[in-house]
Amino acid sequence: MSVPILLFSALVLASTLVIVTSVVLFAAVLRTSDARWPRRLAMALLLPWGGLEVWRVGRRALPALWASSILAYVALRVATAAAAPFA
Amino acid sequence: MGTRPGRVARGVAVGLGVALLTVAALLAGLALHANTAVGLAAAEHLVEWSGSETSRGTVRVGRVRSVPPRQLSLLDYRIIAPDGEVVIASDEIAGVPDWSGVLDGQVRFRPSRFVRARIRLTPGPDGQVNLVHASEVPDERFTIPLVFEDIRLIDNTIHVSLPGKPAVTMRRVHGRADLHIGHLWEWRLRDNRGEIDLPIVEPGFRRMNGRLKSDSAHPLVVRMEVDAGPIETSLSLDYHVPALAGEEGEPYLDLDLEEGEDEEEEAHEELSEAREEREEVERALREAERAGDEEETRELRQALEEHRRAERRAREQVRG
Repeated sequence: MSVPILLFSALVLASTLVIVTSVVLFAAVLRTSDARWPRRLAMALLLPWGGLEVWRVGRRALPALWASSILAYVALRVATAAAAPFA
Repeated sequence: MGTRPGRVARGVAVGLGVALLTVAALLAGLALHANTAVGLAAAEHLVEWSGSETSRGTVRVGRVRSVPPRQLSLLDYRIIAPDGEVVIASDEIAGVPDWSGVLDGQVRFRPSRFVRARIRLTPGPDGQVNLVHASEVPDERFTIPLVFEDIRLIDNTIHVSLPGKPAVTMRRVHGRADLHIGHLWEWRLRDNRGEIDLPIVEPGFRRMNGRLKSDSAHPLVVRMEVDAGPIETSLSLDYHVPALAGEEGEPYLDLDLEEGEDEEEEAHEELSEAREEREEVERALREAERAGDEEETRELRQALEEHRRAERRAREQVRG
């Protein structure tokens, strides 16, 4: 397996994880927040805010996974952009 | 708190939802990143690796310009036969993905284009055309057929150097073609035009129809109309490889120049050729069914449908 194929696979998997955890976190914010509805929806749409809310009520794994997936994705985008001239 | 069966049903629904979401996200991720620099580099390696693994030849790609969901565009595409001969070298091979091909178990592109392809038709092992030998998929290897339909040929060169006759080269070949790469390898030419270097003269030709295929004792059969000044002749090439039919004898190329036929006679000839080819595929299909080779059976059924369509077209021409 060549380096470009490995990098591309990692990038696609990381983006998949970002999308899946974002949707699951969105649903979790709507379910767990005790805020009133317009505010709860705003929290769900602004995921960092909603993630903090879910973190605050003690369900920490999901916001941590979401944040890690975004960090991994950004790191891979930077790595692939830097490696592109050598691919 | 719900009942236990209720909780189980809810858990299954959530699991299914997450699984569907994951598949959708994966497809979105692929589509979003396919045309990035790393996506194109990965595609280049993937095309070279999969092409070289499934066929006998070695596939080389200079650069991938774009990949699906946009059109597939491979620049400086080459197939190198096991003996080292470059049997095809094309400036660009491109095609628009036809997603309905998935339902037929094919990776299909339509329409497609081959730009400045230099194709060499020379003898390979057992007399088979080296290009066919290098790019067909051996029966023991798994493959998903790769199909390019409605190919626009732009400024192609076809060099024919087969035993029995001096080499001929067709230049500035334009026209249409279809290509099926799998256990069955077939390249069909439709209504091509260009120039051909015959002894003394280099006339233009038009209405070149024919095919190059595996699993046939006549791998190359081509017919064209040649405009040699005031004389219009019809030229046919027929390459016969007795060994491919289990017979003895040396492979040879028949090259016949004869006076132009009228359109009716030619239409009848095309119909009889189409009928013969359809019968040939039917025979191969029966054999594959008897042998229980499901993959080959599926491919041959698809090929049979294409041949039936070609025969219908030829019959309509005869009637018209």
